[in-house]
Amino acid sequence: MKCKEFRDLISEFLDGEMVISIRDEFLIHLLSCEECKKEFSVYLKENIMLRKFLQDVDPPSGMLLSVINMITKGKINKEE
Amino acid sequence: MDRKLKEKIKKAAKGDLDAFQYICKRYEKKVFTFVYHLLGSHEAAEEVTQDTFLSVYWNLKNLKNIEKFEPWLFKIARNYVYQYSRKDYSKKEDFFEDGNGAKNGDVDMDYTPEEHLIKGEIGDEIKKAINSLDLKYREVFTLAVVEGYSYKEIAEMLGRSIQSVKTDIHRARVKLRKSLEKYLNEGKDEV
Repeated sequence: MKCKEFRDLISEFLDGEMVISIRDEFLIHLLSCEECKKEFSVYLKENIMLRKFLQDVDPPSGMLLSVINMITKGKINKEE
Repeated sequence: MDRKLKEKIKKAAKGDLDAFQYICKRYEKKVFTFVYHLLGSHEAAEEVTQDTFLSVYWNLKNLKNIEKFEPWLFKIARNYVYQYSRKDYSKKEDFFEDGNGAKNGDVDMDYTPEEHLIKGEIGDEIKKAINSLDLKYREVFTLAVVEGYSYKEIAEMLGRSIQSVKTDIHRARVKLRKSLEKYLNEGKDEV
C-alpha cells in the first residue's frame, strides 16, 4: 500500500468501515511507515477530541410538551 | 427495531397521542443533538426539532415501511435544517453562536480535568471549526461520528452513494484537521 492510499483510508478505519480485505494491508503500512504513523496519530487525536466535544446535547425541558400542545390545538382547529 | 417501538409507530400513525409521545421521548435527544450540531444554536435546534416531530405526527400514516422509521425521521429533520439555514442565510453571522462557550455550558456533563481543559481551551475552536464546514460536510460527519450511523445507512438516508458519503466524511476530517492544526500537532513528532 502506498502512503497516499493509506492516508485516504484513515477515515474509513476510524469509523470502523474498513473492509477486512484491506485492513491487514493498512495495518502493515501503519506499522512500517513512520510518516504515516505520525499522520495517523494526528487523525486519531482529532477523532478523540471531536467525539468528546460532539456529545449528545440535552434538549430543553418542555420542548415535547409544546409539540403535543401544537398538535392538540391543530386538532381542535380542524374540528372547528 | 424492537416490537414495542413498532407497535407505537403503528398506533401513532392512527393518531394515538400517547404512542406518539413515546416515540418523541425515545428520539428527542438524538434528533436535537443532530440538529444542534448542524445549526450550532440551541434556539434553532429547538425550533427545528419541534417542526420535525410535528411533521412526523402528521405524516406518519404515509410511512410505508416501519423498519425505515429512523432514516425517515432523520430525513425530515435534515430537510428542516436546510430550510432553516436558507431562511436565515442572510443573517448567517448571527445565526451561529459566537463560539464564546456560553451555550456550551448548557450541556450537562461531568468533566475530568483533562476534559475540562479540552472544553475550556479548545472547545470554542472546535465549535468554530465545525461551524465553518459546509452543511453537507457537517451533516455526514455528525451522522457518522456523533450518531454512529454506518456509511451505508447515511447514504440511504440522504439518497447519496456510499462513495460520496465516504469522500465527504474524509474531506470533513481533513478540513477540521487544518482548522485545529495547532492543537493536533502538539506531540506529533514524539510518536
